[in-house]
Amino acid sequence: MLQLKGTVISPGISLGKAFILKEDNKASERTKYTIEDFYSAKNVVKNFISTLMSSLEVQGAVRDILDVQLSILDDPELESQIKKLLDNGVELINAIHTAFDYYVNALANTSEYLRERVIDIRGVEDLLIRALRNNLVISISMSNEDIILIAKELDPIRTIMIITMQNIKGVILEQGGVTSHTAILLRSKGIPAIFNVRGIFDTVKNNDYIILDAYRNIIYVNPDNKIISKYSNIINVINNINEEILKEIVREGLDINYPIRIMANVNNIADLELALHYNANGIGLLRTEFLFFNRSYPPSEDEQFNVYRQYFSRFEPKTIIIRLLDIGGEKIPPYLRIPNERNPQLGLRGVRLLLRNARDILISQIRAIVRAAREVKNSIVILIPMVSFVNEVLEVKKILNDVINDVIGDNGSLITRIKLGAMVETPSAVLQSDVLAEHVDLLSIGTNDLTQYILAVDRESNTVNDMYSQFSPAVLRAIDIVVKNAKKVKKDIEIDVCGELASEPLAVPLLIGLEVDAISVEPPNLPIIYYVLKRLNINEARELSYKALNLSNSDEVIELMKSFFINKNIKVPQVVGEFV
Amino acid sequence: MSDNIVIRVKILNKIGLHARPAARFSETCRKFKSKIIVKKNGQQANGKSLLDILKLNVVQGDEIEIEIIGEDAEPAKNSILEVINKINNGEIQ
Repeated sequence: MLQLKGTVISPGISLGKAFILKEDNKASERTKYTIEDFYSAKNVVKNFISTLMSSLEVQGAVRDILDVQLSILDDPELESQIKKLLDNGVELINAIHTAFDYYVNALANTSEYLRERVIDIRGVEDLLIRALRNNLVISISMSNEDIILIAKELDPIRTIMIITMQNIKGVILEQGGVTSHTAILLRSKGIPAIFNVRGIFDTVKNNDYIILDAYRNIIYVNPDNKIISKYSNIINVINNINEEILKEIVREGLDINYPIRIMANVNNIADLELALHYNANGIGLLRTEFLFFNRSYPPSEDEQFNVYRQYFSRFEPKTIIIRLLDIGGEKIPPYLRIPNERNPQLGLRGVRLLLRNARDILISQIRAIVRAAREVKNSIVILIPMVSFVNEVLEVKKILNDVINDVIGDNGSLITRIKLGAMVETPSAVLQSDVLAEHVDLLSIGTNDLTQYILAVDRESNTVNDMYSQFSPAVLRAIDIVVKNAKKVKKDIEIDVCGELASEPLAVPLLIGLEVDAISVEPPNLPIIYYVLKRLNINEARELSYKALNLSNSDEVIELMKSFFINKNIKVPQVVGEFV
Repeated sequence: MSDNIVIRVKILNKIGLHARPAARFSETCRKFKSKIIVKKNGQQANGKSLLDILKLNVVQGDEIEIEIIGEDAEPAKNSILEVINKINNGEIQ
């Protein structure tokens, strides 16, 4: 038995067999395929394309292409040709090539337009062959066993492919950025994941038995029976708890007795639908980055308008807090030119980037949001990312006012529905939160970046990332300062918390105690957060947060919260080990 | 009792029976049991096959003949006319 650890990306526990994704191992040993393999590959590709289409990043022309590709997959002539070839003894992969060649050749002789479309048709062929040949897709989709996927790194496209497969229960990466889109996707799907696990490739083989405990940051490789049975019990308890929570929500509804709103973080249509299903009080953080990635030019104002309107109207009439493009730290789209910096985390990112290098994008995004807001009844808050100077808020505010005047003139009712908010993610924003409050309607505390800047710890660093914890008393004090400072100058200002801390059941009592107005939660975590809140009264929450503010480190805060949950018999997976 | 209906329509939209219009057209045909044959200049295509239809290269201004054979030919005809109408007035592009 071997024990490994890394960086927890997405909390949870899963058990399963290791499936190692090796880049150069595409060709499968299987050569004899049947028509059933074709159907199974077809389904995999259909799921893949549908999932791609539901994500925010796919819009406009790309979306149209995917739409047509989806239709090609169900083409009856194509299928009957492939069947005929198979019946005549042709091997499946050759049959697929032959059938596609036939159409591609026929189309190449027609018009210029169709010659250009050939690449889309070849794209379907390529995906089908890959689905057949690729060990990952075909063996996972045909296996009934629970699988823990192990890879060096995962790009977002592959991640999307993976999250469509029901039997992938967990993901372990040897590398991988904590703040990457891959991480965001896994979290938003609730798939447990640990990244930066050094040496996992050298030690783990296919079909090794893996326990991925992403609550405690432990990976067991081929554990003994004692540990397996302990974890089987834990999983049972967790499943029971989750079932109980869901039953309770169905039975009693989602109302809670606190003056706090539970909103949802939304990255794509799937998140949006889940948030609606759980009756979230609005979208507390609508991320827009996906709309700007994987393309060589930025989305047009019209394209953005259509997407935003779709999202807003689906959640009508609830509040939507939409964040302006927040780029920095990781992959930069090619059309945004940013010089290499010695320390990008302290460089041109967030609103700094928008104001200095991408003003045209900033204006088109604000215009698209205002135009979309005009079509719906939601209250819309435009959220400015990575604010570190008061001036940044004033500059964006001026642009917003100009846009409102230009787009709608002085339509009073609309102007009151469009509000401005600032992210509080930097120490300067915390310390000047009273000044910021004078200029905005809402402050949203983003705990992921705030923790990194308050503690001066780079989450991605292999040497210090164990020091990073959002439970740090320093982070809690920062939240406390923001609430007290801002409410002092503006009583009705709304203060929200987004970021991982707000999705963490152990932390939610602290946020209640610190008297924030709303939290924005990853959609799969909504039920458990409701469950915790229902068992909590405001006085004990205040008492807990007061205690936590005066502790010396994050471990002590976590211990405080665990013993509180155990004493009150609030069963959440995070403390379930103690119940077993 | 099998019906045989023939309709003639002119395609008026800019890109013709290609891309999404062609996809929506073939998907509409797939909903029915009837055999649906699309003809242009002596060439013919299976209406349920997007690739077959693309092969016909129906462009703006082309007239096509659609032959519908089968017991649900009547409802199929109505749905097809409806989708052609949407294509022609730009609702599907």
